[in-house]
Amino acid sequence: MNVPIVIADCITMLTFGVALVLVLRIPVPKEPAFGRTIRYFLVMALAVYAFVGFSNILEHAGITSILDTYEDYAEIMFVPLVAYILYTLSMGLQVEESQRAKATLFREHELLNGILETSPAGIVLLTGTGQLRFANDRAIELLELVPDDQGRLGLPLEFQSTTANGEGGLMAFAEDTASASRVCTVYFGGRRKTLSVSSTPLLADGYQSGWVLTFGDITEQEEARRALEDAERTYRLQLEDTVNERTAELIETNRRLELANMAKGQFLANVSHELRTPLNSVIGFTQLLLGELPGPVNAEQRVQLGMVRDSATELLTLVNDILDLERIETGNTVVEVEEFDIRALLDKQLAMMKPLAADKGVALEYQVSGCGMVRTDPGLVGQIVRNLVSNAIKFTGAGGQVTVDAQRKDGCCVLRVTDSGIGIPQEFHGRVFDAFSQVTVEDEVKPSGTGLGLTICRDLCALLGGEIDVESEPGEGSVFSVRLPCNPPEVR
Amino acid sequence: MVQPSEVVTLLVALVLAPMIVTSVIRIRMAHGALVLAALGALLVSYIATIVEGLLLPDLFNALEHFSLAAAGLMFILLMVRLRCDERGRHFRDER
Repeated sequence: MNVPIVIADCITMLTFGVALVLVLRIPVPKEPAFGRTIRYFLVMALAVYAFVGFSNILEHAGITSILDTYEDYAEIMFVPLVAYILYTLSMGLQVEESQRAKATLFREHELLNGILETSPAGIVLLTGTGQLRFANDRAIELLELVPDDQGRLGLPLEFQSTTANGEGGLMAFAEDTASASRVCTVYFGGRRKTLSVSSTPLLADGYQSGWVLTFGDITEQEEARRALEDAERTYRLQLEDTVNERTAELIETNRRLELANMAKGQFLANVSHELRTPLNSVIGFTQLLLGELPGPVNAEQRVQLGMVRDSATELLTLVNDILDLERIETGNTVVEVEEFDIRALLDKQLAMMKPLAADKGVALEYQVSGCGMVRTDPGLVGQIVRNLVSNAIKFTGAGGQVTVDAQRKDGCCVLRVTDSGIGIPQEFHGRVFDAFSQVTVEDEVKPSGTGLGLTICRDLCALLGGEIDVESEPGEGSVFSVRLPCNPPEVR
Repeated sequence: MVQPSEVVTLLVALVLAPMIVTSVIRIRMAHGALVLAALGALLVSYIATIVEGLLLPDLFNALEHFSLAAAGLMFILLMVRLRCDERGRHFRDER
């Protein structure tokens, strides 16, 4: 007995035997036919060599060699069995893979179907020849697709669109490059829908194999947009009509105001003229009586005649001021520009004001520095000087002083009338140039005057291209400054 | 003396060996090297069985039986690994 050989044979029998048992526990392909086949033939293959081992043990242990012949034939089966097992395994694995791929494909298909059917957009798939290959429910609803005799979906006969008509109409929506959505209007008989359409070409192996069209129903949005445009247009027209009406009303009102203004001016001119004539007569004859030309007058008569004369003069001044103001405001004042000496003008104007100043006990002086010849309207400048000086004298008490100075500054002639009168509170500075506005001071007698003098000065300054300003504090007198350009605006 | 059945066994094994090897490689069988090694050991035993009839009978006889034992050990190891290997569920090496 060859002990090592017997031991090797024992190992052979035991290992193949145990392996045979373990075959029953190994995982095999899930497909039952393949799994059972593989296990069956693997058991047979391993049983072959378990038997060979057993036969060799009996032979080499000297027990019997009767199994030796069967052992040789059994060994022939082993390798073919292994080959068949591997073949079956290969088939089983392929079937498993195929089933897994089918399951995956089914899941993906179901998912895609779900997406297509629940999509709010209509999705249509066209083949390369323009045939309708697929349309989801939304597309069928939007395009009202109907089956033909062969059951293939297509556009209804009454379909028309701004880009396509009837047969083959869907191809008109397809474009060779991916396009952003565009708006199309489609008609189904008398019904209209507005759709947004986008087209994407399908490529396979570099060749165009069809198109994917998506449709969205924007009928409501388009109708809302049109309604908004209509409303906007209507509103705009109404607004234009309203504006035209208001403009016509304003023009009519303006015309009436102009007429009223003209009537007012005419009235003022007539009334002023009618007032001036008798006033001049009153003043003239009063002067005659005061001059005792018809005969002597007593003291009482002199006083009363003086009062009549003063009242008539004041009334005449008011009438003249109103007329001046009216002429300026209506643009009837003519600016006659000429070159003159400002010193000569002040000489003349202040000579006329000196008696007024002397009567009130107010000193009147003037000075000119660096302001010789100026180019403006001497008449209007004289009127400004007269008004400012008479105002200054009016508001300055006895013993006070009024000074006029003229100087050239920054190309302008600056005339300043300074008085040592009652002054003007700060809050009245903006109102002193308003018509009929007079500053009254507490405990002081209201001064005489029309309240138009400064208004006329302001308007005349504006006419000459200049400006007037006041600096004053109560009790400290006032300074009125007139700034006139040496080259005034055009003559009117 | 060479038995005819031993020669047929060897010829069948040699004819089917390429198909077996390509199948193992193609399906990427888990522990395919172990399978091929076990089959190789069997092939050695087939050859040793024939050669022992021509020369050195004791040596080649021993080689035959030890090769069978080795093939058995490899097969049992293969079964154990297939049982334990999760990837072995599909008999395929997924690495």
